[in-house]
Amino acid sequence: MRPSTSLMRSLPWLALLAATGAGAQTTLTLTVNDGTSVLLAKNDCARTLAVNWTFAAGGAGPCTDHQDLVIWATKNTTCGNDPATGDFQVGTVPQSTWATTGSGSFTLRVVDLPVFAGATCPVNNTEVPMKLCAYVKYLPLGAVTCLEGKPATAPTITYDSAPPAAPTLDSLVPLDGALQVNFTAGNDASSMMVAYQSTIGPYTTKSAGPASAGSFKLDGLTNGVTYAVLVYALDEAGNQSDDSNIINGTPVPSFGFFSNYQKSGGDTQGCAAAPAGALPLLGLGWLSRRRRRSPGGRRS
Amino acid sequence: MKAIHAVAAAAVLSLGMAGPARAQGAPGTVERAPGETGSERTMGLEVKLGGFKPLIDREPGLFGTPYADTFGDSPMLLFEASGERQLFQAMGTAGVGLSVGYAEKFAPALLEGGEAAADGTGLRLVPLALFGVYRFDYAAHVWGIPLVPYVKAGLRYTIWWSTKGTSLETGTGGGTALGGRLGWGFSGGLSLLLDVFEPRLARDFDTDAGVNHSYLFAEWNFADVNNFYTGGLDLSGRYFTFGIAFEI
Repeated sequence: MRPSTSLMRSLPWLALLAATGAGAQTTLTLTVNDGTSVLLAKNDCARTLAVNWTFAAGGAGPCTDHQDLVIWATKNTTCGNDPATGDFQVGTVPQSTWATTGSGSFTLRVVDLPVFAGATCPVNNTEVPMKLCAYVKYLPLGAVTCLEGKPATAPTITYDSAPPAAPTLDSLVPLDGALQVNFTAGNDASSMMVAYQSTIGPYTTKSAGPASAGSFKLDGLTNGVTYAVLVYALDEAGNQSDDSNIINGTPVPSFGFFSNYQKSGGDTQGCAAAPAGALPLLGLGWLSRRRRRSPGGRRS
Repeated sequence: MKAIHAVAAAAVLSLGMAGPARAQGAPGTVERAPGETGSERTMGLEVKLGGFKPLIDREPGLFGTPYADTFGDSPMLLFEASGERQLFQAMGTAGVGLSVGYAEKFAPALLEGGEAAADGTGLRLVPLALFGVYRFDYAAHVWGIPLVPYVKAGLRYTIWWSTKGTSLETGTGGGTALGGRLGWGFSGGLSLLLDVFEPRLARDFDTDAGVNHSYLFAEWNFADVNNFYTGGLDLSGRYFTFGIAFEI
């Protein structure tokens, strides 16, 4: 069989592709604390981050420039090929090392991050996203053209010491032994806290769930007692917003169907404690009890 | 004692209906109406919907109308499904069956003065029934009249629970608002045999899926579920249901 004409035409291009190493591209991966992102709070200054790199380019040779693998942190939105002014160089891996080991790690102190260049950690009211970058050039085995090695996605390190905007407490709806707290969360709020105080009790704070919920049932209150309520927000880094406005609310007793039934003289008293699935058995038990019981007993 | 007698009577009734079937042989080989065609019928399945308003407010000793005060005058939406085993087929079809249903109703709870509160309350029912059924389908299968009257009678047990907010309600006496009520009931209905409208499709349905006959039906239900008139929560009702049934 003769090779087809189109295949014959393609062979030189395939050979060129193989020679440039495009068919043997190696992926450079970079992680920070074993993930792709880290969120740092205001008081994380004493922390260190673990930076790991992998570059399985065994047998690759050096190029004329960027022979060593350089890892750095930058405030810039893009990495480029070299650290820029103000960036912090995390480490350098010589060509002989990355070509033989294929992986390694560095320790990055939070205080060394570029956000603190010319300043001292902590820095108030700032939220700065940073990128962890890496760059190297290598010559794949058997190739004639050098290739670039860089992470497909640069890990992000965000230092967040800015509190979220103060929420607005919209209303309190009186419930039985509870208040429904309706609020509007501000920007950057992740979760909510509620604080309340009554004339007969201490100041209390508790979690009010996610900021996106918009409302929260504050239960465990005493009917007839007026409570002063406010909310505040936390962001993902744990920064606390200013307090919201304060609204007073008073829980009121209410009666569901069964309480209304009993208030109207209904004879059924309900169960002491039993799962619904046991009710047919309870019914049979009731039947047997009826045989031994006087007619004046209460019904369940 | 009345309750025990009723249970015993239902058991005897069921056994009495099962007796002829055993005498006729294995399931699926019961005697059939002369001239009836298609594969053997052994079971019936039904699903139905209706508006159910429990007669809670008629309980003796009540000095108010708690159901009407809480939920108004509108009924609950009741869904029921049942299966029955056919035991006799000749001058009609007789069998025994079980059904299970679900109904719920929600409304605002009430403040002390009767005004609507911000809290919600709900009443949920799961009616269960063990029943015997007789369908006069001789005329439909032999004479081609597509109407099948039927009657059912049996025992009922209704599980109930009431909620306030998202939790089970606690009554004024401290009891949890859940329980079960026993009773009895009967139903009468009329089924429309759908096979007559598309006989060929009906035959294919039988051949392919084993469904002998399909019906639309309406039935009226009488249920006295109040622990056999001994007082307490009365979950009785008089109501219509509408649904679809299959014989397989």
